[in-house]
This record gives sequence, structure tokens and C-alpha cells, in this order.
Amino acid sequence: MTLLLLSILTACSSLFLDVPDFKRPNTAGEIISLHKMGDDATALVLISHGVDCPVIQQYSPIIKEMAASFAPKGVRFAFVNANTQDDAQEVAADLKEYDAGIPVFLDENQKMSMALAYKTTSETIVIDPKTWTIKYRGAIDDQIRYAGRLGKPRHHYLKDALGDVLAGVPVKTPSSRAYGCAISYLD
Amino acid sequence: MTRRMSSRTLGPIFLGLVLSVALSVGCTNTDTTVAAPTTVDDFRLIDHNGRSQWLGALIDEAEVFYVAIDLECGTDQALALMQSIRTAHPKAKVYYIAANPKQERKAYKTLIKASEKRAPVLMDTSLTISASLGLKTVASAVKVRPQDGHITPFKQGLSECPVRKVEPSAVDFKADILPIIDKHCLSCHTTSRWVKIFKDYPTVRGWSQMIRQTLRTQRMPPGGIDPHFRPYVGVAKAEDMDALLQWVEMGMPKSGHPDPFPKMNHDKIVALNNPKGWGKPDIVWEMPEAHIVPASGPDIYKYIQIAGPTKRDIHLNRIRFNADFRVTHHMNLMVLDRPLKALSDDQVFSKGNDQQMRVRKITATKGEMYHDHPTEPSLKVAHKLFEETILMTASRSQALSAELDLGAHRSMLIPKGSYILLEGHYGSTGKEGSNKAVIKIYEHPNPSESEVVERGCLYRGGFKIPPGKPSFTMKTAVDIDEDILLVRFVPHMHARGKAVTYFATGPNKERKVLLSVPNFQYKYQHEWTPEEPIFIPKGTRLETHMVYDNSKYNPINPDPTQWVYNGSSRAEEMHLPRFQFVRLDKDKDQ
Ligand code: HEC
Repeated sequence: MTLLLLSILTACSSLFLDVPDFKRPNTAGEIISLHKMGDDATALVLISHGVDCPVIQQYSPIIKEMAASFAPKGVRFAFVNANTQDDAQEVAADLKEYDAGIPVFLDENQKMSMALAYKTTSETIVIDPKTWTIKYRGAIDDQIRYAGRLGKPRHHYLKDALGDVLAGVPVKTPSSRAYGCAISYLD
Repeated sequence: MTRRMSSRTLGPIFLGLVLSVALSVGCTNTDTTVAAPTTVDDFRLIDHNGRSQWLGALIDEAEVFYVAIDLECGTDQALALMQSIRTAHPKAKVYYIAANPKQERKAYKTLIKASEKRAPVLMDTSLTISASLGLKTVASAVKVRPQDGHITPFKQGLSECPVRKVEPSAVDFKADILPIIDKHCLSCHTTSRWVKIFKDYPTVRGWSQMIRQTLRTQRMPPGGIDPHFRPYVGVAKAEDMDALLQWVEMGMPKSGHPDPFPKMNHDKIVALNNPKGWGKPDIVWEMPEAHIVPASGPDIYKYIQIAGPTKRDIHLNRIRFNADFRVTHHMNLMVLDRPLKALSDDQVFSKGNDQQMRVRKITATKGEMYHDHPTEPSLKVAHKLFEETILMTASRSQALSAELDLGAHRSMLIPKGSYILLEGHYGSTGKEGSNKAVIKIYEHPNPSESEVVERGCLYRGGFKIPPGKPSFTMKTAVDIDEDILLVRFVPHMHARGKAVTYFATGPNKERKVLLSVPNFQYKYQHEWTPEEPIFIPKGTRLETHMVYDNSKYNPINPDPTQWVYNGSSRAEEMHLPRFQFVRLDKDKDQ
């Protein structure tokens, strides 16, 4: 408990700073760096990932499509996996299934996700790598819900936020409620 | 490099952190030195009228008040506090919340009816929700901002009476919790099925916040039934679900036991892979081709004829479905009097079509349907108790191989000359999938000695549901003019389905609830079998209320701005309060 509070406090201290660099292994065991990823990007999309979560599973083809359509504009997508129950092989197998070529930060000690204040998988953050500030936080869209999905989304939160960031204007809807599987922060 | 985040982006981040602090604090709510929680996570509770009240639906309310109440202590102060809140905040949404493992609905009904201070009384039988709201004494209140769960303590100290709390010793992991998980979670969540939560203890812990969320919002186990009225086969007792939630809120202590989950998981898989040996089936129907479900996209319905015309009467006793329920919400096995191709799409599944499929009137019972929206001239009033064409719904909630066993004494008749149609309702999961169902039929060895289970439905078509309405109720009723036994309830609605209740008003005029599902879950299409069949004497009025939520507060509403009509596509609605019954008066058979 104390440990947890402590780590949250540590995380809190980074709150008022820009998004710091995070270095984590990917599924191949190579260390990848958030800031390095931002070097040649116009925007970064960080999506909280978890194996076996029905919500993020349904989003996977949608994410793949978006990553491909925004790639020519210099937007880079990455996953962050903070699930203590997912090991590297499981994450690799899960991502391979969708074959979207999106890298994943294996956040084993959960500190990256905690600092980014992720509450649930599928929660998405858009970062402007020029300033390392967060421009959007929330759902990808409003299509997928716990026990059902809409025929098509009514709000394309992520797409719209990226549009605003790329146009250099303030994001009109900077936050929304993300549905996904709540992350368990364990000490 | 010390540029600050704009306050805009800071808000959500900060909230997230506060929330995680609140979560972890909530886990140790027995420690009185811990500061009061500053946010509350989503929850659902049944109120004293049996309605399911969900915080998550209140997103447009500016403030919601919860007043702790107790029947034994501080009651008057709680009522007075409610009065003062209602005077000072006439627009606010208000609830009482009663932390008491005892169901005291009747007593609260009397109390609230007699008082001017009406508000739903939430039955916090697990005591955990009051604790997570930070309510410590009766006649204290908190104000909650539903958008983010922010709590402001409102009034405290009006009574000395403590709000009941969970005693940590009350929950025994091995004796209480494991059997509940085994019985009510594991059959769907082994590592051989979906959402592999119970692989081992570390995995369970990894899923703890999500397990907590599904329990607090009463999404799991699926079904949404109110277990208060009578026992149903496979339905968890309220006190079991309360114990499970208490254990989860305590942080899932294993209490020094070695990890029991790997063995439990393994044993369950073995049991599921070796279903009861029913021997060789008498008839096997197989889909001639698979239904393919794309990785992504809207839900789809597909139809396929799998047999017919049948050459003789079939007296079905047991049936087993093998289908891929990862992509299949549910499949309906239908018995028709003509082949599928003889029905135009229009005839079968079109908007506003009353005579969906062939409906046969059951002659021995006469019925009446009435509606509660007399201002709606387009509503047609029907007067029939229809025989249901659907023989069985095999849904995800029955797990990978759905089955129905009518028991030694009962059978269902598929008359000679029938056509057998399968309706599959599919949803994308992110991966392409397919379903090629196989259906095995086991006939009754002595049909003439078996009781015939019949299928009835207080079907209603020709309705329309106004846009934006959070609760639109349609009522139907039928007078049963012979003695029957009710053996199963199979209500069907679509994405706007919110609640369903079956009532019986006997000759003594007392109306009793037979089945109440205040939190209808469209995705699972559950069937409910009472542990004891329910005797319905001649002269009883059978009544159903189906409630639809066509508002934006229904998260899976396809379009809250549109009128909704009767029809079988997902965007439309259905009103099928179905039930299965046995006639006790054999002479009336003709
Ligand atoms: C009848 C089958 C069934 C039973 C019993 C059941 N679940 Fe589930 N559960 C499901 C299905 C199906 C899903 C996947 C939901 C989806 O696809 O939307 C699920 C999903 C979940 C999830 C993941 C989050 C989500 O909603 O998507 C959790 C956590 C969960 N169940 C917990 C439990 C617990 C705890 C129990 C026992 C109290 C339980 N379940 C009992 C079928 C079941």
C-alpha cells in the first residue's frame, strides 16, 4: 500500500513536466524509447494495450487501419502494455494476429502507464512530439462498448484530434471516456 | 524544459491519478485512519422497487446525492436530511442508500410510501458501495459528480448510528469465494474459453480492477436477473455475489492458501470437454455451409435452412448445439411450416411486420394485450397468445456448447412437415471467424408418456418507440383459462431492451412477480429456468412488462434520435416475452 502510494506520488511529480522519455523493451527484447520515436513524427498515438480484453480486441483492426492511414502524415502509433498477467510471448502472439506493425512498450513495472495515468486498456493519448505535451486523452471512438457495439461510431475522437494536431489548431475535444479493461496497478 | 501542461490536458491526468489512489484506498476500507475517498467508481444497485439504478447513466446530471439510511437507527434523521436536500437542490438526482445484507424492500416500500421524502432506496447488500462513497454514519450524505465520480461530503454527524461495514473475517477465501467463482465464473472464463481470467492467482490479480468493475456494475455473471423472487437454475444467490464483491474490494486476499486456480481451471476444462454422455443422437442437423464473420464491422444476422420438410413428428427431449460462440451472440433454432425460400425477406424480417414467420394461435388459452400509451394511435392491439416459432435459443451465455435438457418427463414436438431454420446473430471480435453449427437431437423414448412443453409468446408488433426516451414500457397480458406449469422464460429484445418482468395475478387478485430482469443484457439473450416449475392455476392473468431505453444513456443504442419500429434487424426492436409451459389438463388438448 505504502509502496503504491509512493509510486503514485513519484508519478505525480512528473505530472507538471512534459511527457518524459520512457525506455522499455518491446516484444523482441529490444529497448525502445518514446522520445526517439517522436524524432521523426508529427504526432504520437499511445494506446494502452492488454491481451484478451474484448474491447481492445475489437479495436485492433480499427487501430491497424488508422495507423496505416495516418502513417503518410508522419503519425506514429505505439501500444503500452502494463498488464502484469501478460508476458512478452502472449503480447507478441496477440499483436502478430493483427499484424499491424505497431510497436509495444512492455511496461513491466507499470510506471510508464501510471505516469501517463492510464485507467483502462484502449485509452489513447495523443502527444505532440514538438512540445511533448498531451493533446488528447480518451477513447479511439465511441463505437465499442462492454456488451455491444454501435453499427458505426458517432464520434471519431482520435481521428478528429489527430486532424487538429496536424493542422496546428487546439484539439476541440481534448478528452473523452474510454471503454476498455481497467488496469490493475499492483505493488 | 519546464513547460507546463495546459490545464485542459492536466485535468484528466490528475483525475486518473486521484482515481487510482481512491481505488487502492477503497481496497482497505476497514482502516478508519484512511482518508475519505474523493472519487467513486461506477456502480449499479437494485432499489426497493426492484429497479436497477446505474450511476453510469447519470452523465447529464450535475449532482447526485446519496443519503445513508437504516431502518433500525437514525431513520427519521435520514428522511429529514433528504427533505432538506430536496428543498435546497430541487433539480438534483437523489437516492437513499441502505447498507444492510438483509433485503428490506417491503419495509422500505412502506416507509417511503408513507413519507413525503420519496426517493429510490438502493439496496447495498454487500455494504461495499456505501463504503466506497465514504458514508460512515446514517443520515449523512455525499454529493457525487457522475461525469467523473468526484465525491463531496455533504452532511455528516446528524446521527450517531454507524453505517454497517464488512467484517474482513466474514469472507473466507477457500470456503466461500472459490466455490462461487467455480460455479458462476469459471465455466465461461477458463483458459480454453474467452477472457482467461482464472489461469492462476497472479492472473486473477492482474484482472482485479476489471473483475471489480464487472461486479460493481453487475455485468457479470451475465443475465441481469434480480435473484430476489425465486431460485432459478444456475443463477447466483445475491449473498454469493455480495461475498465475491466484498472479497474483491478487500484486494482479493488469498489468506496464505497455495494458488488454487491452476487446478480449478484445469478441472473445469476437463469437465467442459466431457459433457454429460447422452449417447448417440437420434438426429443430427448441420449447417450446409459456414457463416463467415468479418474481423470488423457491424453486427450481422444470417439465416440458413438446415432441414425439412421433416418426415415424421419429432419428440425432442434433449438438444445440444456446437457452435462458435466467440463470434456468435446467439442462434435461434426455428420451426416453420414452409421453406425459407418461400418467405420473402419482407415477410420474414421486415420493418413493422406483425406476422413475423408463421404464428399459430393457441386455441386453448385466450388472451388480450393492452398498451399503456393510448395517445399513440398507431399501436395495434393484438389479442393472441402466439405459439413461438423459436424452439431454442443457443446463446453465448450458455457457453461453447449450448444445450437444453427437458428432463425425463418432458418433450417438445416438432410436427411432421416442418422446416428447420437457423438464425445466427454474429458480432465481430477483431479476428475473422466463422460458425458452422451442428445440432444434435435426442428424442424422448416414450413420447406418449411425456408432458409436452409448449412455447408461448405475448408477441407484440406494430409498435413504435419514441426517440430519446429512457424508459418506454410495453405491457401485454393474457388470461390463462386452464391449469399450466411454467417451465422456462425466454424474453427477447434488442439493443434498447432495458428490463423485463413477468407477473401473475391469481384468482385472489394478488399480483406476484414470476421473473424480474431489471438489467436486461442484450448481448447474452439469457433463458431462465425456475428451479421448481411455477404452477399457474386457471383464471390467472399472466402479464409482462418490457422496458426499452431509446435514450443516449443506453450505451449500445444504435441511434437515440430515431423512432424505433418493430423488426428483426439490430437497429429495430422486438417485443418477445416468450415462455414455455406444460398443460396440466390433458383433456383440453384438442
Ligand atoms: C455465461 C458466461 C459467463 C459467465 C458465467 C461469466 N462471464 Fe465474464 N464474460 C463473459 C463474456 C462472453 C465476456 C466477454 C464480453 C464481451 O465479449 O463483450 C466476459 C467478460 C468478462 C470480463 C472482461 C471485461 C468485459 O466485460 O469485457 C471480466 C472481468 C469478467 N467477464 C468477469 C467475470 C466474473 C468475475 C464472473 C463471475 C462472477 C464472470 N465473468 C462470469 C461471459 C461470462
